[in-house]
Amino acid sequence: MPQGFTLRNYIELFSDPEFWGSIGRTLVLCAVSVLVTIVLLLLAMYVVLVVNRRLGAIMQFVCMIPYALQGVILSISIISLYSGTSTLLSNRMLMLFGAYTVLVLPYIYQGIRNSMNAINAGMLIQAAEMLGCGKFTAYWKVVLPNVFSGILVSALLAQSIVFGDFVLANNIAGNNYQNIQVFLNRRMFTSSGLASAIVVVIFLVVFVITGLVMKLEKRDAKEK
Amino acid sequence: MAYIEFQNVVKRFGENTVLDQINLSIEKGQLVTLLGPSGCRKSTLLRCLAGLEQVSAGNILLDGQDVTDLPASRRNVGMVFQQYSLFPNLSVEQNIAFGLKMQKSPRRRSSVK
Repeated sequence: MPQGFTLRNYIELFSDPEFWGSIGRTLVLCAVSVLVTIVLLLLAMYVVLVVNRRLGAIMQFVCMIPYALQGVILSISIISLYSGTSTLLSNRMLMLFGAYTVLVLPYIYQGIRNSMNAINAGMLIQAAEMLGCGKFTAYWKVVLPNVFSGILVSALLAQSIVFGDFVLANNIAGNNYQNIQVFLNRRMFTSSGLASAIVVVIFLVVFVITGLVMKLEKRDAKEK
Repeated sequence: MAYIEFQNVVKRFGENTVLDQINLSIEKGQLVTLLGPSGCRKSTLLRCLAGLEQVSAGNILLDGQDVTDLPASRRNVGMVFQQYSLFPNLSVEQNIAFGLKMQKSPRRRSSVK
């Protein structure tokens, strides 16, 4: 323990290239998995809204499964299912990104679904259709702008989940793709002060991302 | 020939037949009221005419043209929803101009003074 107030741990942390690498990798992991999930869910939601509403119940069930799965079970299942195969999915990096896409699925799904229910998206599409708008154009021009804030909030929630996850990254990729939590875990055994500094930095990074996104959303709303 | 014509229109939801062999002719300019208790499928009939529901059998003719398989966006039929269904992300002007914009009406015509 330090004798008094010191910034030594922060200096040590910021001068460690491994730290910046792990922050960068976590940000990439976060952005890719959240974006892929949002795109896939929006396309699936379109099918549910326009093609068959009964698929909504199945979709809800599927999207809720990862919520009930522990990280250990999820990671071990993914590894045992794909690692032995000679397909593209046996690549650990793809497995990792895929696992995070699955992990954030329930959070993003709930946010988007609630926003769509709140604006009665199905009815809006039909109203737009009556005005000569195609189904997909109606979804793109009418529904999506109205659920944008819901997408943003769920993306922020998902982002904090990815930032806080250790099990998936450690089990699936380990040192091959060391995210910030794996980095924290490695440092925890060497210096408690350094570990505390890492936790504070993680908190600040999540806080800054949230603040930036909220600011962007406010500016967007003002312009409208 | 009538302006709107339902010819033996049948609509089924799964096993449930909700419109059974409907034949109805409406002349241009004629004011027609559909009266009936809640759930008797008045709205379903209108939704079939607007193209928001696909009929299971029969034909719908609009000004002599068979529109049974035409999507709602190309039927040019107006319908006011009970919930208004205004687009919350658009201003009053944009809401009014939306239909004209979708039909690629010249900008001068669609702009609200």
